[in-house]
Amino acid sequence: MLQRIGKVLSSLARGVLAATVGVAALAPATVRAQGSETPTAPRVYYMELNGEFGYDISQTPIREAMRDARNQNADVVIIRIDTTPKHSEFERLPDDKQNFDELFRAQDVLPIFTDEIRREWTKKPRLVFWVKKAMGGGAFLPFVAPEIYMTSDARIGGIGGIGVMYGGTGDEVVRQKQYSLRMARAEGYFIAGGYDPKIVRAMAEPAYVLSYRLEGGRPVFLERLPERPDEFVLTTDEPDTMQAQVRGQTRSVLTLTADVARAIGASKGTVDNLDDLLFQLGLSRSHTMINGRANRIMEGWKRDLELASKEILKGVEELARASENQGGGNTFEARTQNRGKQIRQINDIIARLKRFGEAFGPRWHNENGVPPISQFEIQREQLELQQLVDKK
Amino acid sequence: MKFRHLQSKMLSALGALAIGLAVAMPLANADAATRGKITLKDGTIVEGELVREVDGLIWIKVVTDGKEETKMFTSSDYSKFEKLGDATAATPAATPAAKPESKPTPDAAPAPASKPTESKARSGNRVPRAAILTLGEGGDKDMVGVYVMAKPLRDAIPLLKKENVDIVVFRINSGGGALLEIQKLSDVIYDEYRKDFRTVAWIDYAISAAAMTAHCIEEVYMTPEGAYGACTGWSGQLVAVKDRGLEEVLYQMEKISARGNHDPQIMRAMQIMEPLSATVSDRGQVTFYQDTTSGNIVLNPKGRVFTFTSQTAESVRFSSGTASTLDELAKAMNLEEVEWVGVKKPGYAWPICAAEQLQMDFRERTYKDEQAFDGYRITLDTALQMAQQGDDETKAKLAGKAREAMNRIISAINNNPNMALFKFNMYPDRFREEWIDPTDKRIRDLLKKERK
Repeated sequence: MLQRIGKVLSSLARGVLAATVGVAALAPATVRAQGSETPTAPRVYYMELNGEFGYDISQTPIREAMRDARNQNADVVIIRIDTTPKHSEFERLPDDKQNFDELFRAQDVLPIFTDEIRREWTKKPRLVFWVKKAMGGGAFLPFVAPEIYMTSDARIGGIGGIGVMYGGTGDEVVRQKQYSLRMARAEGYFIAGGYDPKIVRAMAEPAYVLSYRLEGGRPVFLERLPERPDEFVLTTDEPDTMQAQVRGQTRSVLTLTADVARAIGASKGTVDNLDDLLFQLGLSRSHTMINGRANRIMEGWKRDLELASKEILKGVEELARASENQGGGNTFEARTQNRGKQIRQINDIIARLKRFGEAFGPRWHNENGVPPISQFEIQREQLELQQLVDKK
Repeated sequence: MKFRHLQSKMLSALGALAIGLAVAMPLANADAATRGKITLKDGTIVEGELVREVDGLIWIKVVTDGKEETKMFTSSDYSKFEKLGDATAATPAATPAAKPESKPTPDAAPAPASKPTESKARSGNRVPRAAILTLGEGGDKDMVGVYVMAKPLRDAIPLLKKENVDIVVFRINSGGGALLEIQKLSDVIYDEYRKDFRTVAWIDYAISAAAMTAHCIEEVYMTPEGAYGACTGWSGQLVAVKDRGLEEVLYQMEKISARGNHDPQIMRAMQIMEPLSATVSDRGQVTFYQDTTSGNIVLNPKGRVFTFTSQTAESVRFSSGTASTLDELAKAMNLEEVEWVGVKKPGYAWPICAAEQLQMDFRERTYKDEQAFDGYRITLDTALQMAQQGDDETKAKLAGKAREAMNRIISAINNNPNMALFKFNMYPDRFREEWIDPTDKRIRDLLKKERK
């Protein structure tokens, strides 16, 4: 019975109502049930990347989710991204680990959507990024996909500052080298995704002037300020006010909003719910939503990561206390016991650091006062030497 | 593992014929004494000793300013190729009738008369065999001078010959490294690889010393996201190499540019903020200019250091094509058919041949040693220090620990001699004299006291 109703609705949608947006919003929910019974309906896999880029949003859970999508024979993979940094995206990272350099963190994730799809999928899926917020390193991710859609309040950016990131350190020629190699890599990812590399240059390089006009509906980028009424400015060489920075309305570097991204062809459309997105993708009439494990994978990763982080910090504190108790007491047995305990704690910390190493970057170590693994290994070695020469 | 790249049916008949001829060229007939004459598409004639022919690729030894140099030409470079003194003269667009119906086995090829003809004997008229060798693998294993070194590359040559490889594709993924290794790498690739193999660079990320390493290779392809350049030498807190050091490396790269048949102005713009522009003529000839006004395409503005993207590299024909997969690469290389040598392994985009496995093992071993190196040193130093105050029994125990740590250090440096330089600031050839012998003596002294 349900099948028959589904078929009737589907026919109606095909015949008359499909052209109106109002029906489109209704149609996916209705035909999704029908779609699941149609063997040829495209299979849609949906995942959400929420949280801090490089920490919550990291390669291990994303890879696992993509493999789930592959194992479930997904034809279309929709990835919704909403980065929520612990820090303001305008706050500079310590030392030379500045925001643009989250590109190198993004490099750990990007191959999952490029090389690994080519290598591991028999049929390349249609890859769609749906952006709520993609700031910092997360800004590079959507551009691997040929199709980007954005929510009406979406933003992509927060990677500015490439030309000033080293301040006055060292010689100008070396700073230029550093900017050049980074910019070329970022441009390369845009080229590979089919986007004009001038877009990322405008997003990253203060004082890079870019405007555009539309010719035949397509954007033509101009590396200068507008000179005609039909030309529009994207970036200028003037510094931004603090207010503009806070609102994400910078003109020294480009932060893509839904409207701007749509105008310059970076976004294919603006949609605020999944049904609208499916409609815009041409999938509203017939598709099968896969009941994938993506959300469970992502949530599991965050939970385990948070737990590991707490355990590591607790372990480091306990280790510090045990180390203060030099030697562990007056007897050989007490000292042996104390060293054994420290070695076990070190092994635990190392194991957790290794398992979640991709999320525990230099910034995490710096902020939490946790030394790198090599320091723990040295400490363990010293304890073993002390034990070797200790006597009853 | 065998893959065959079949020419697209969409190829024009002319193009298909050209490839047909390339396969059909009587490679075995070309000996070291044969001379060749090539008419380039811009009308330039190049004449000299014919060194090799493989699949339409011609190597001709020419003398420039009294110096012998072997130049390579692809079928897209020339309109006519003649063997002087040989009745057969052909153009790349000759008839396909010459294409053999069946491919002779390697055994059917004549015995090699000299090193250059060894490779000809290996290729014969059969499907060319190609191997991917990675120089760096990104992440923690990419530094030139530590993970990209001449030693494992040289060690790989016999393995490639054993597998009858004709084409070596260097897939490069490295953010740079030590200037000191560049000349050694360039020499191995230019003097040894190029002599025996069609040598190709496939660039994913070749920055600084990695680009300087690849620069001796003429035939360059890039991945779509590829980047190549940013070759400024520096140290410490972003301090540039200056004065005589800079002049030396500029001159070094001018010579290496000549090896790769690349305009030296390209590398200069990558090293020292020289502007660069270029013009591509209707006939496809590219002229570079060290300014931003003379060329039609501005590649590098004033005050910047230059890095190619795949788009800019292809626009001025620095790269011969852009490829993200083996199939795309084979197509860009005009290989009608190719056998990629090696074993397909999960997680790798190309088959792993024995020579590539050697590079991977080398990097893995180096990585493990590098991670553990500080631990080895601290164990050694702590053991020696603690032994000063111990009794004979303690000294004996600690001497054993110290020797174990010393042996690990020696083993790490045997695998990767440059670790002597980076970890001890000592030249590898002096490491025994300056570190091993004195350390060994300190340990032996501990044991001597015990014997008293």
